[in-house]
Amino acid sequence: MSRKHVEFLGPEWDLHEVPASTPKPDDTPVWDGKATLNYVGKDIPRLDGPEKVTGKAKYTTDIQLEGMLYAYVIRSPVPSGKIIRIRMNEVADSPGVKAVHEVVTTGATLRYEGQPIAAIAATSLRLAKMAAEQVDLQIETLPHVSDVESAMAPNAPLVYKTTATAPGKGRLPIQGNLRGPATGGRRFKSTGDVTAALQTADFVQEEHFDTAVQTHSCLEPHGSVVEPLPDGGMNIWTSTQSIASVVRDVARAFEIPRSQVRVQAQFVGGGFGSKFGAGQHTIMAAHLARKAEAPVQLILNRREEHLCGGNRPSSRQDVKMGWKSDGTLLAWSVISHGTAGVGTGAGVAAPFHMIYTCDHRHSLEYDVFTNTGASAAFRAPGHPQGVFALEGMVDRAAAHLKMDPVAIRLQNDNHPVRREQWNRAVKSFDWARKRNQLPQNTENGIIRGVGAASSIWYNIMQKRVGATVELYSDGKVRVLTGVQDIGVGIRTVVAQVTADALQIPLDQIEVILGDSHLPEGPGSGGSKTTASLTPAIHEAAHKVLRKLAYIASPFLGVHPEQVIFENGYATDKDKTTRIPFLELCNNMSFERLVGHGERQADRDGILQSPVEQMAQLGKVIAGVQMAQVAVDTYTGIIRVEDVLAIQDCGRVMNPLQARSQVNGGVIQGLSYALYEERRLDPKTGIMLNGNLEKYRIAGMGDLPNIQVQLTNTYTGRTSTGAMGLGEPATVPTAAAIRNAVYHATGAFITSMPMTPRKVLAALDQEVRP
Amino acid sequence: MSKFTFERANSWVEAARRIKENPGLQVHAGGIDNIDLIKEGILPIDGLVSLAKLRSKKPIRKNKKMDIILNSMVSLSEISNHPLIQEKATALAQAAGKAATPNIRNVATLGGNLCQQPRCEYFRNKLLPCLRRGAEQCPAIEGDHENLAVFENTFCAAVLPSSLAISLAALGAEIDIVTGEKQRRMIPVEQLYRSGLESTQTHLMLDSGELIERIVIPHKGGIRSQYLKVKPRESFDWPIVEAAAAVSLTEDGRVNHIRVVLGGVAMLPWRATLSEVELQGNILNADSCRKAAKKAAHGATPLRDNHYKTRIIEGTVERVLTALIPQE
Amino acid sequence: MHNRPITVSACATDSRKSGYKKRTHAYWTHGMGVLCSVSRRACEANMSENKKTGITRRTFLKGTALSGALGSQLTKPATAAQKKKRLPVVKGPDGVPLKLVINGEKKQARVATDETLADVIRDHFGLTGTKVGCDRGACGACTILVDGIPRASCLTFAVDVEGASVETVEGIAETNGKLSALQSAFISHDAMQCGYCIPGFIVSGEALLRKNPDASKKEIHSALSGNLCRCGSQPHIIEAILSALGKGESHES
Repeated sequence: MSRKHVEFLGPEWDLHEVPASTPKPDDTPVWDGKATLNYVGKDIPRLDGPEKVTGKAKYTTDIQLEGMLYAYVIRSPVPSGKIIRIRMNEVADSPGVKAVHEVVTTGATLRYEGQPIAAIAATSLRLAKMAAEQVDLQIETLPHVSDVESAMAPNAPLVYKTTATAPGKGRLPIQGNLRGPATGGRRFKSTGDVTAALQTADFVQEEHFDTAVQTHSCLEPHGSVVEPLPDGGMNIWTSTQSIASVVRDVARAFEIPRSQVRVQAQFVGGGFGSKFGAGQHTIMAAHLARKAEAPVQLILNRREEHLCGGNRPSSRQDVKMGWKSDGTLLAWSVISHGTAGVGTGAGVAAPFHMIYTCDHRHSLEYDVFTNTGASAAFRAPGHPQGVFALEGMVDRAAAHLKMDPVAIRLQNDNHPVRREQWNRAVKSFDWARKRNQLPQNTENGIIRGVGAASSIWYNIMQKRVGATVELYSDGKVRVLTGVQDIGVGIRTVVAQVTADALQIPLDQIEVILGDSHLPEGPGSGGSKTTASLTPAIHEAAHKVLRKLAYIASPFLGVHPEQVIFENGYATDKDKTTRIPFLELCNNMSFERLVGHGERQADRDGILQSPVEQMAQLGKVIAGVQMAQVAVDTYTGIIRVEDVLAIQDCGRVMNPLQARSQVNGGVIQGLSYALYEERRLDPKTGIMLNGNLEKYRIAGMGDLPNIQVQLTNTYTGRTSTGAMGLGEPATVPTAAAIRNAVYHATGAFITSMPMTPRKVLAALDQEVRP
Repeated sequence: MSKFTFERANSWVEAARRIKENPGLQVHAGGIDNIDLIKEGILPIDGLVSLAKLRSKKPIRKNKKMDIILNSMVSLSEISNHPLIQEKATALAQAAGKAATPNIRNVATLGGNLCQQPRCEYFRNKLLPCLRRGAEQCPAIEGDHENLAVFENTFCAAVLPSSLAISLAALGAEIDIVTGEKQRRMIPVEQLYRSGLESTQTHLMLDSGELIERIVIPHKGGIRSQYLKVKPRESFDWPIVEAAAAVSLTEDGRVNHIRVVLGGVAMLPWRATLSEVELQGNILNADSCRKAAKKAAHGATPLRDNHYKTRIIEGTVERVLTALIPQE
Repeated sequence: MHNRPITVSACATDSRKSGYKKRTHAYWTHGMGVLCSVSRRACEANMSENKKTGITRRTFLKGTALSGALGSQLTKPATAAQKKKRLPVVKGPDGVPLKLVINGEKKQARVATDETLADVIRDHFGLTGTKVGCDRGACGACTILVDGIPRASCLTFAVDVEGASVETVEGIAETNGKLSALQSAFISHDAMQCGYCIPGFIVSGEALLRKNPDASKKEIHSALSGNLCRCGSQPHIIEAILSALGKGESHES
């Protein structure tokens, strides 16, 4: 009876009919490439814009409670030491002091500058600081290692005396300050015979790359306000990327049920990966709050933020790559060493494995412990570093073969979306002309050039996160979900999806989020928020519609299963009668209809995309970027003039917000390429630029013209088809900039940030014909 | 944070005396550097003496001799936007307009800019040793000095943070100092400073209680000036190298008077004397500018990691001089 | 601010007496060759002079460490010379009465001398729209208008602006709550992500619009060069300001 059901899937330039099973009424409809949607895919201004532009948005730093105390943390002034004596007793009687909390005790080892020693809560931050100066504290300074080379030297001081105390033990061997090697990851492993393959290569190139430690530098620092409750529970306001993770950590630390911990985050001033989990600051604030029996606010200052707020690990990468003379990549090996401080996570090999098709791949990744603050996930962990090296090697090979850098990439890249993106980029950027002409004109010591690099990220999602949609009898809709909006605009996207799922106007919808009392939402990291949450929202809304069908059914005189919703009306398949949505709501004999949705596995059941699937649509997120630079050969200063970013993120949910996010990825990538570096005094290991004056992040004057193109792809993997965007947008920028400098000057820079000193040194080595 | 009192002086002499008689008092103008130092815990004071009331109604004016007189309480924004400065002391307007951020330029004063403490990361961090704060030696010389001094850096590698001093030195400006007594004194702006080679304690040649009330840019006919700042980041940043040059030409186009002063390279405004000598009496053209620039870094004693600065010095001097070549 | 730790001023005097003028004379007349030898001499002289006056680096260090112990002469009676004139009114350190007009409303508080305007606005008056991002004037999130001029409230002691008229982001919207043209443009251009820096951008931008309603793109860049945005919303911010200026929609690209 029914025609065979099909879905239109594929990239927007290559939609094709895919047979699918006929959906039942209760199945959440799948939005394919031909779905007509009123809000999803449109430039919808973010719903919390008015709060943000008027200063009404309350971030954690802005939470002020009756009787709230302010906490100050005494931190290690040395990168390595031992507590000889700590006495807090007298301090408890200092003016204004209401509680003290010792984080470590006498004899404890201090492993990095900024490590918390004790915390003091007082009626003002001033008084807490003054009391801190009175603490009887003696520290024995011990030898430290603050950079990768000295940490790997024979007889180097050990960050962890015994492997028993080291993080990530068990999974990988630990010797001295060295942890690893890892030879594979979640999605890939080393394979083939690299040695043999390199012997058959027409040419082999070798380079050493290094990248500096970058700090997240969120404008809102880490911080929490903890209000103790009489039953032993706590109310917590915190700047977090995952309120659920804060609930988990606090409940575990205080051995209380999760139901007794309520965590709220209405507005979060940036995270970029650094704000997962409760963090020591929340735990300290909670201890103080319990002792003082009063709410306590603990906000990191800017220096603490640099020292303890997480960072992107450094890297040193030794890469060897073998090529055929037609530009085919035969084999490669990479050995990487990087420091994540006292933590782990310095690997960089994923993009090597995942971007280009290659049968012989060998990666060894080491973490090197140093006496510095632990790293945290940072916007595409490992990827900007890895791509900086990988895409540099590709441009080296192209130069050797006198091949166009895009051509050599197309030779080795099977991803269908990225291939099309390259074709579009070449046209939009006027690539061929710029490659041929730009470096010819040197004007007043300034040379220009263009470069390109590939991006990669993965379609990640978090299962079981959910949302509740409530439809009220007055036609208003509330969406409840415990996600947090760290700036990506999920609040707005949730409303768009709900409006389109219910086929009602956007202004009928109110989104309530940022509270652990709501259904658990996804963490905002890994570029998975939208991909995880929107199918659950869609499902919840659809359930509401199906319930509404029961109300519509008697009016239409059809079985509820035969009720169809279209353009804000309920009707049946013959469309003889139709009833406005609002009229149905008014006919509800109760206050509201509720539907709950949860994120299930993707429709093909796959959760991770292994290397074998990297050329398949919707498994791996594709992007390409091109950059034009002007290199000042007098001063070594690089200015980035233009960037073209073409990015895939599945279905583009809100192009306006998506462009914001891609702009942000490019600007952060530029900042990483040219400016950012956590600098430590080599002798004392103390951070030199723990501020925003000498820790430079790109500002107004450093902006290139950024052109963003979003390539819609309709994967059909979920009902909404959303994929991630935040991370892939920052992955290739630094590599593209370096490749542009290479094109302009012939100087191949292998070290980031590309400071004037490094650029001038590279220019000296390279005499351009 | 230390506790301190706050007062507003009613006159320059009163301010000078209060400070002379109370060694714990610190003079306070725009407050930018004071607040920074107080927050870092490296400015032990008992009180601040604000000069806010002492700002003259017309802080930028000309006298009968056509000299430009600047009240030291004038803000950097006012300097950079003032037509008289833009025309007659171009290098000063440019330096003021490139310093710090707009917010800071709106508040920071000329006097404060001239007298601010080094921005050296060792000096500003009380966890680190610093010769100027009592350590036995300068840790930057063996440590991180990539952006520090290349001249007179044997004992201390910090650089003068005042961009305005560089331009004022090029313009031959003088500083009018209130002493708290009846007499005042005038010194050339470059004599306000001494290098790390000379003193590792303070770079300012002011007695206790001495305050800068005015800066005078003497009128010299036909002087044109330019300032150039090379900074890693285009948005606000400190210079790697900055250069100011002032020149006047004879009727037949030869250099009559020239001053080339470098900043970001020493603890004082650094005269590129050999560049000046190279140009003196010669035609100012691309060729002579390049030749002169090649001599600008002469005598530099770069440290392990800041040799690159000498190259930037040459490039910067070439550009700042080239900008002064008369357009046909 | 004529800044200089007072404890070192004696050295300044001494070294000047002991050959500084000679040195500068040599320097400015003969150039660098002479400089080194002369300045080394000056330096030695400086050090020996220090010994005479008993002020050495060590005593300076001690002085620094014991900040509280330095000169508590503030409360001592002023000299006769001063008595003749108006005496300075010394305030603080605590409980200094402060009057301000904030967003058109008269406000009062008792503050400590070391409290910044940002602290006072946020903690005393509960206006938390003003953000403290770096606490050192480098990020612009705390930008407010004092008598119409934008400045960093984290680098302003509240007592320093006694009596001033202060405008914060909360005062930018019109009194009826209607958003300003700039605020509306920020929303329609999505000129924000996390939003933490946005109050600073709004205040800086509003000041620019009032001062220079015909601002060019370059002038916008310059006026906002002290405002940092870590999310990278600057391209949309520039679009928004251009649009509020009636200068078209698109960021050139």
